[in-house]
Amino acid sequence: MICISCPRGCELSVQGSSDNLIVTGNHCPKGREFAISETIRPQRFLTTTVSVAPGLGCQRLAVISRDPIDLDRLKDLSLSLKSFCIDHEIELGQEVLRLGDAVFLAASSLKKEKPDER
Amino acid sequence: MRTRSFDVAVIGSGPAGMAAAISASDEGSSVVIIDREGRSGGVLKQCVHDGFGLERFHKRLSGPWYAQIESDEVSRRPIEVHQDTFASRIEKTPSGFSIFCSSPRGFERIDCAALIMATGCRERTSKQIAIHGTRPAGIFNAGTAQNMVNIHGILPGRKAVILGSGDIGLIMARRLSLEGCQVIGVYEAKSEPSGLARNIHQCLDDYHIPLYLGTTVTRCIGIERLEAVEVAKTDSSMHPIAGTEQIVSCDTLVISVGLIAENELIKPLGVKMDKATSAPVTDQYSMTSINGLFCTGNCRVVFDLVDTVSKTSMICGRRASQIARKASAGPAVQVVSCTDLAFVCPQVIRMPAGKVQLHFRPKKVLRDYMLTASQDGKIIGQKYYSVLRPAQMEDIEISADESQAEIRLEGESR
Amino acid sequence: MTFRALERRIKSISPEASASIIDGCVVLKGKCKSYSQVLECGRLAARLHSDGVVNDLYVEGLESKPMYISSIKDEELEAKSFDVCIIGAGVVGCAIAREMSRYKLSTIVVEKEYDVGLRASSRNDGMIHPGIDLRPGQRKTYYNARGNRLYDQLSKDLGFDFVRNGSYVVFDKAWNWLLLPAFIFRRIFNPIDGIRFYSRKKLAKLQGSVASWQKGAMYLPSSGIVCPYQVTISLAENAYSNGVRFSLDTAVLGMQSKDGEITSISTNRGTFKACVVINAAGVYSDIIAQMAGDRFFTIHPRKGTEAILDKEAGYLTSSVVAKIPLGDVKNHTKGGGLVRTIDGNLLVGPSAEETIEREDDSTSSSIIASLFEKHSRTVPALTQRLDITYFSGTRASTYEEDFIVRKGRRVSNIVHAAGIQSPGLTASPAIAIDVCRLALEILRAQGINARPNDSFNPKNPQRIRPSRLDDEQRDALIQKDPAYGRIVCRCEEISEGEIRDALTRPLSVMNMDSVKRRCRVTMGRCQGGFCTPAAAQLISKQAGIPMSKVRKARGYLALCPVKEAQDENQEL
Repeated sequence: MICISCPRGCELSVQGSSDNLIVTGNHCPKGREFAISETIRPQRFLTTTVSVAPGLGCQRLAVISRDPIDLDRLKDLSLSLKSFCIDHEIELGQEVLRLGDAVFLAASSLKKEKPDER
Repeated sequence: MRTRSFDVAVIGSGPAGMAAAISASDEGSSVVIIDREGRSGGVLKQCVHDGFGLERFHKRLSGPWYAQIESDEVSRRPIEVHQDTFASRIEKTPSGFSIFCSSPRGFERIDCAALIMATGCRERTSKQIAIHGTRPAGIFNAGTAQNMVNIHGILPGRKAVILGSGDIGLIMARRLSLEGCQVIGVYEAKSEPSGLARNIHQCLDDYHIPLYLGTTVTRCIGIERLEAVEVAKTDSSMHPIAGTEQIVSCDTLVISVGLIAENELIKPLGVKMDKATSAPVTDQYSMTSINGLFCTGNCRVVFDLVDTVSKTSMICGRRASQIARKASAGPAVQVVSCTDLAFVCPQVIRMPAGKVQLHFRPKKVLRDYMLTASQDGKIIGQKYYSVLRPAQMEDIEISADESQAEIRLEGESR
Repeated sequence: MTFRALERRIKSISPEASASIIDGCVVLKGKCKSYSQVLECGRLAARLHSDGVVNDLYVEGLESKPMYISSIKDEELEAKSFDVCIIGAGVVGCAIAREMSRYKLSTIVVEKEYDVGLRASSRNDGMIHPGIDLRPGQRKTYYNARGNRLYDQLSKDLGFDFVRNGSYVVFDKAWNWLLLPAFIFRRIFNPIDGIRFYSRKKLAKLQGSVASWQKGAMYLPSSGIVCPYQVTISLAENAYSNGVRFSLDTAVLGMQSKDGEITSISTNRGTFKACVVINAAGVYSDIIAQMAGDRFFTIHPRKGTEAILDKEAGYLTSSVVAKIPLGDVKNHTKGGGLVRTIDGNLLVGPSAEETIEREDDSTSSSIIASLFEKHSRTVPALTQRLDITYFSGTRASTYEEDFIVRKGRRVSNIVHAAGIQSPGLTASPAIAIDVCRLALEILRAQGINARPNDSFNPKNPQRIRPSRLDDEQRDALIQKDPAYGRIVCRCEEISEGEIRDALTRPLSVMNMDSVKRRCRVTMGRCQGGFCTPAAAQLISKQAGIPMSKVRKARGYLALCPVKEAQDENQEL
């Protein structure tokens, strides 16, 4: 497996049973953490966009999940987010929506357009 | 026609431009940023995936987040940001440069003592890599497809083939899958993937998208909308092998086959170019062969990480501010690359230099490699790499003394 | 050659083929083993100098694709009636339409494509030919010389870009100079303005990029350059503004005639009447003639491919550099060369390949490679590295390799403007004048006396190009209309205002490629990589449709809005 914790991309290998995993090939502790979580319960941050009501300066708002989400739930969650639409001003990092236990944060801010702007 | 004057002008408000502007301003210069888009951030605005800022902020930020942090930093400083402003041409003047800009406010001239180009890069097109056949709708550069999905909220198609395993191609494979588009496969003409290994893992493997190495798209088929592509195996020089053609049905072809540094604006000024990077020759401060003219970020060399872009652009901005106030550039020493490396950047070092990072990519995968930098036979930097891949930019730190001799890089696999 | 000799030779090529003379035309029927045999027989038949060659030879298993017909089906034209119907909105059809609009007539142009000028008219190098390579006595030669001289006024009236940048015909062998008397002699019959001859030294001085081993050149100052689709669109816009109706997405499917006269025309948008029918259908002109019951010629499509280089390569020449057209006589091209386009790019080509397909626009890497290989012999600095795109088109060539500009042979109310290949762009304004005259004659014979159109305005609304203005003028323009200051297409420096203009000009078509041909957005070195979404958004606003319904050309640019993707996938 390839470590995704940083751009270095270490080639990790995991041996042993679930209560005693031995990780090799990692260059830092993050690699070990990743290898264990990837073996037991692979998780990823989910990044996507949601629609934005007119007048807020753009059509889509980028969002990112606050916590990692189980890999096999990513696609369903991403598709479920399609029906959301943001209609108010947002600060960077503000919680914008919640879907079950998954919390999503705004990855940029939204400001009402001034009337003289487009 | 309105004319304004600044110490430092920056063209482009992506991560490179913003970082350069911030450091130039902090160094005491009056700074203007000229950006052709309505919002700062450059291409980061559409890179909604995470993984940015790991080195700099030790966090997994998404592109817009990273961009917003930078643009918030810009707005805290006395930096003028001209959005929706397009630099039409640049002229050299006795005291610096004049930039002629078009914006909804008019056509104006901006004079500056130092000019920082942070214009990024553009993608190679399907035509430049000899994809032939018909011209239906449904053929996009990866960046264009990314813009359509992430900025405009429209999906380019429902069944996509991706050509090129560069990072943007891989990221688009994942992005399209997440948006409900079926990704049939990623095809790569080379025998090695062009993108980072971790992106193969988290963009393709996670979504069960196959990667076909040594295979390229040769032909598009379709009248109104793309109906299929022809793929073929490639030989070692990446040419299609006759007789290996296969038809793959799809309605969209996304192309991610490389980036070209954007320097058309300054080429007419007679700036010295490096064939290896297809970009201007720069020193460790990102200054080109023309005094006061800087070129930073992806228009200098195509970087892997925005963190490196920010870091090198900070150095650039600080220096531009000094040069604007008539600091001397110092004598230049050539950096002579070795045959294993595709390029080395910076290509010249201004003395005295102190500690300097040289960025490079290998031409092919090298294992157990020791790279040595020397000047007059004296070793000024050495680094060991267990593996070097063309997909991954690497660096080596050197400490250049007062010697005026050229800096030689030599390497060997042990 | 006698007919008997022709018969013998046809049989020797293909025993299953036969020739006959019907109504003054050579008619070839039967089977051949290959398409090259079909072509060979056709070319032989042309040497008989009959009234035309009808080549119906076929190759078993070899069939061309059917004509592209728009999926639109309605009754838009049903039971309507027009004085003049022009079939085909290429440069010839549009030039004729503009000539007809000088008269008080109801004129309609029907075009099977979604826009005007989509076939050969936009798929050529845009050269306004001096005509040096044309044989005296041909209709081509006559119309080329007259057309060439009409371009100055036409460009002033219609506002398209035109420059006489001259062309160099390079002598690559010293013995080429021996041809000098032949060229001078040819000028007596084929007047070419201002021709000059340059020594090797002078050539090197004037065109430094030409290889030093070249032996000199002939310079033709009357040679010019235009943007071919800009010309076609300008002609169409002017015709439209002067009252001509354009029916796009309209394919002629059949014609009904009675007593040697066409009574009605059937299309996918209804059946209508027209007093005079003008056949300007390009590669399909023989098929239109057949529908009318007046076929006396055969189109054998000849494909040409050109490469477009970045403006950075523009330094290689400011005009046209071609080789002396000797080895290429057989292939019926001018040998090709380098053409500096009106917008500063460089064209390399064209090639010439016979094809059975009338609408084959596909390109192939081997042809592109051969173009560069060939022309870098003349200009060594030429490199494929600066190639930004390429295109192909098919020429409407007849076996006689000459234009057909005449009334029908057996049908009283048709005028053919057919078989028009290079130099058709140069010739079209002159052809249009003659076709208009012939059409008026037919109308007169029917008792219709067309009166001049008093409100005819020869001029088009001005095109605004901020990037061509000087700085002060540009600033003033933007102060008046800020849309001209917001640049959308960075490579070609096209502003939002220009895109809006392209969408609101007469006869505008609301899709990406049509807007591109009208204002050059997406035409630069990034080929729309950056500005495609922004331009699509402007089209969606102007047309009042969602972005996902904006078309590239015939097909949709995107397939659905992101938020609908899920629902649609569930349906699948």
